[in-house]
Amino acid sequence: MAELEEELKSQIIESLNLEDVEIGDIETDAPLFGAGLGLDSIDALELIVMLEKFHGIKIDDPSQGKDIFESIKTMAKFIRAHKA
Amino acid sequence: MSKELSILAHSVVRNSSISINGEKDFTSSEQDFKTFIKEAYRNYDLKYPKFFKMDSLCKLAVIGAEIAIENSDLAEISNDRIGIVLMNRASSLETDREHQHSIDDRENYFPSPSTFVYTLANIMAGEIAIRHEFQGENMCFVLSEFDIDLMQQYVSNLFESGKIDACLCGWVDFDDSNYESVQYIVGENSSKNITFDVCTTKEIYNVK
Amino acid sequence: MNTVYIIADNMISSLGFNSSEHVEKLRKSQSGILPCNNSSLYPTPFQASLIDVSRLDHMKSDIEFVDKFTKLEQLHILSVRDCLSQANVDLSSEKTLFVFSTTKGNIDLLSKNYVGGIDAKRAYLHEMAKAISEYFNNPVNPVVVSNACISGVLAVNMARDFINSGIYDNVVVTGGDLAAEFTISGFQSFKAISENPCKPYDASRDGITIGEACSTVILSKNANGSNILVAGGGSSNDANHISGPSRTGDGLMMACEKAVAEGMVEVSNIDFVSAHGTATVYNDEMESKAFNWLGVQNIPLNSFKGYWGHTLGAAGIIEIVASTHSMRNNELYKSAGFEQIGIPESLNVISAYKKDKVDIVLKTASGFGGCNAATVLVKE
Repeated sequence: MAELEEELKSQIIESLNLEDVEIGDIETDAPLFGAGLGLDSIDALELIVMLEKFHGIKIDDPSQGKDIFESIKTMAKFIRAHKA
Repeated sequence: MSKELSILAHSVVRNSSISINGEKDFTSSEQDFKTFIKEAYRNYDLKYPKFFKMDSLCKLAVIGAEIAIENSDLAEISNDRIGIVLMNRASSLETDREHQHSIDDRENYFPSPSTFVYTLANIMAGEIAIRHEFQGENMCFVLSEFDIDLMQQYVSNLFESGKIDACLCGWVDFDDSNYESVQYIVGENSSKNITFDVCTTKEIYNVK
Repeated sequence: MNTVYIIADNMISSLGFNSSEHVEKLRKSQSGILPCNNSSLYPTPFQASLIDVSRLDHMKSDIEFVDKFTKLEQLHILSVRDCLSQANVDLSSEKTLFVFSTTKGNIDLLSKNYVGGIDAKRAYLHEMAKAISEYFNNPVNPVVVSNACISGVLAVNMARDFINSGIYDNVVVTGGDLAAEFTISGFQSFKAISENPCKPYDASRDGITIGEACSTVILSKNANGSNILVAGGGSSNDANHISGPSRTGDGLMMACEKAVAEGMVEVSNIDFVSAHGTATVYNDEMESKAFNWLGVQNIPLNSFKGYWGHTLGAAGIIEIVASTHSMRNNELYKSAGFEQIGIPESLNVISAYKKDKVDIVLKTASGFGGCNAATVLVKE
């Protein structure tokens, strides 16, 4: 079950150019924005592209992103719900 | 009456090596730019994770600027009085090609905002401004070669008009793995610094 | 020290091929933004302001060796030629400079679908500039200003500065950008393009409209019958974020202060503010803060982008030209797209065309990279 979470962590590190960040550094439950990874508004848009490119899910309204991209956990939950 | 201006410090980044004020300071055996510039980042201990989101042109600009700024005494100058005037030949073409590639195939159509944001020549100035909090005058020229006369005239005029007290000037170009950054800080005259004029700038630029 | 006049101008956009065609539509608050179904520009329909292709084909037919020039270069040639018909300027003189304002130049040359036959090296902005200045037999190395959306205002400020200090007598400042697939796809990835024609300062605004345009001004130390001066300018950087503006408006405010100081005008004497107004939530919000801080919140203000979209490298020039017509005719043009105010601090957004005294104008621009620029125009 944790495979998707691990996959997302790896994809985020690559898509957002998070140098010096390992998969083990990203906690599944921890907030992605704010402190921690220091993601910004461009990263939020890039996550939308990542979702479409690697998981085939299109988000047209960026404001939806706030809830979906809260953490790895919420992202994985969203993806599973859409693929179901 | 013309203000007398000096070059407070200068840096050159070329051929996997970095010079400060004419002296070689860091050299890498890596020919590949991305590897070289990462080594330089670590060598100068920038502690700035945003660096890794930048494109090659901005990484080059930020490293070159860092060296010149760290070797200048700008403590007395207010950040809104420090300008940035840069020039290059290729604008942001290196990253433009990357963005174009992402839209070439309609079956695999994924334009990326983090790539697109770098498809402007002046973003390198923006990145420097953010890192060093410089809020003064901005200008980015695109020309076929480093126009030292234009730089001299434009920057002198900025000082004359009273808009700035210091200026980061530079030729920062990146195109298809060919790169060079020649950046220098110009400030009001001080006897221990070299005069800001066309001759001294040419000397700085032409040092191998 | 020389006084610097605007002695000729041209505008090419969805509204027409010269300034009088534009002014006619500005008076009627008529926008050139239309739905675009061209899938070679973007896979799905979108709103855009595009130059009339068939009219361009007709207009360009008397350009010598026209096929040796790209679409953008043809537009520049037409635009500069129109200016030459208004003012007698010797372009072959060493005291005449060309300054170009563009963000992406001939960016269409990068596409694998490009069929125009022009050498790929003209994707280099200075190569494009030289092709045009050489067409007009100008002997001076042209200058290209490429500083995101503030390029046009910066270019005019630089031109003023170089005439003021005596280096040149005349400067042709010409700005242009295409509505290319490159640019549209990029802004779409930012979710920055509205599905509807843009609505600057409006409560329901939700993004920009891309526009293609080319516009030119000739600046001169000789009045040539004009009474419009470029009096002062300034620029700044927010030093905040590369794509999001300052939350306080400090950078824009500082650029305006410098322009106003150099222009030797009082803020209270400004008659009209031609603002940037891209219609993104954040840009317009930032401007409302900057303008209140500066003290121009009660002065009639508009954005021209509701008429011809965001024209990037052309924006500063085309909007300065529109402002000069506002001054010459003593009239204020509606901020197209505006219906109900929706910014945190109040501005006096022009809601309908009207006649009014316009002697002093503050023109502003802000752009990616956190940059801001302002210029002050004064009627002599």
